[in-house]
Amino acid sequence: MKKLLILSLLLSMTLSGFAQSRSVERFRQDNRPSTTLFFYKSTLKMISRIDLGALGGADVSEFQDMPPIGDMIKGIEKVKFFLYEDNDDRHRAGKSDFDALRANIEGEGYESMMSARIEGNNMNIMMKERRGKPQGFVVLITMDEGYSIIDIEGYPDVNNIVKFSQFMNSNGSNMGLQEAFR
Amino acid sequence: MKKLVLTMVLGLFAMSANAQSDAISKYFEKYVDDQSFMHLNFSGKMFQMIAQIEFEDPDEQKMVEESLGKIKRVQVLGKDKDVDGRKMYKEALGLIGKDFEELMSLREDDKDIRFMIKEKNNKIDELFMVMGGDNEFGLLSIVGDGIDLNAIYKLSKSIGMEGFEELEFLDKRGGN
Repeated sequence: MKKLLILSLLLSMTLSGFAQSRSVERFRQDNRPSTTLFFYKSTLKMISRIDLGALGGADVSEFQDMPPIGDMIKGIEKVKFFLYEDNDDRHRAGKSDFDALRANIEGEGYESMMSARIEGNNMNIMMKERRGKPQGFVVLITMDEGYSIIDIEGYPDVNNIVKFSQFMNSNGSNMGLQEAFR
Repeated sequence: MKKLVLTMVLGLFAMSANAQSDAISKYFEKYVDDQSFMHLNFSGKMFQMIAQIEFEDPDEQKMVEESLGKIKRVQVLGKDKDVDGRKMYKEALGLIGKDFEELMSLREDDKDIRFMIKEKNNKIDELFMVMGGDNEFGLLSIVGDGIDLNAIYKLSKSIGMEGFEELEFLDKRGGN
């Protein structure tokens, strides 16, 4: 699960937009997350210097050839991350609430770019456009232990996504999407 | 009133035609809903973004920009345990047989793979791949308006995406 969260955050940071979802903000106000993280320009710069291996749950050598995180998050203005753990009494958010959240986000004009279901876990990346240009991204993740929401404001660099994708594939045995869900 | 009914009927028809325009949605919907199956779905928007990738070769750049914009949807459906892949492989081919034309088939290790295409006005509307082994089964569907298989092969090679290695012969041949 740690791997999935790290990978989702990194992947999400490479996506961009100029707005964040109102539905996500309302949802957070109505349902207190188990974990809340806000990343601003300055914190993102700090993250780019973090030794991912030190976060635990992964072999340090897996990250040796990873493209510089600083390049991937260049241009990202803000990232919100909310984790809702099933065994947390502080919130009552369940599947139906997250289904409703997804519908509300779509109601704001977000469209699904990619959805993945692997071993019962789900990830949905949604994007909002204006005049053909990305305005914002929301990533919804459903896991065995709970739910995650990532809401991003920033600027895209597809080439860095590709570099990250190449890295993910070159480490297929340990860093692939399927393994990340495990 | 008649106009309204006619408009609604046409609208519903258009929606259902759109919803079932690819082989996976049309024939394999029950597996899409089955939580034990892995399912990936990429919309055309994703490929419009990927089309912004910078390539060193200008010809390659042009080809990718032109071809990726035509992709409307990509779906992958599969299972790699507790599945009779060979039986499902046969079942899949039986279901889609009439709609698709065989492009290539191969047997690799313990699995069979078949690439099929659906054409309209000499343009490829859908590339469909079926894979079945002793304990694995997979489907891939790429839907678009004039799919350039060679461009897909080159892109998959460039970004390290697995599964398209068998399309290398198109690159050697210089196109579809």
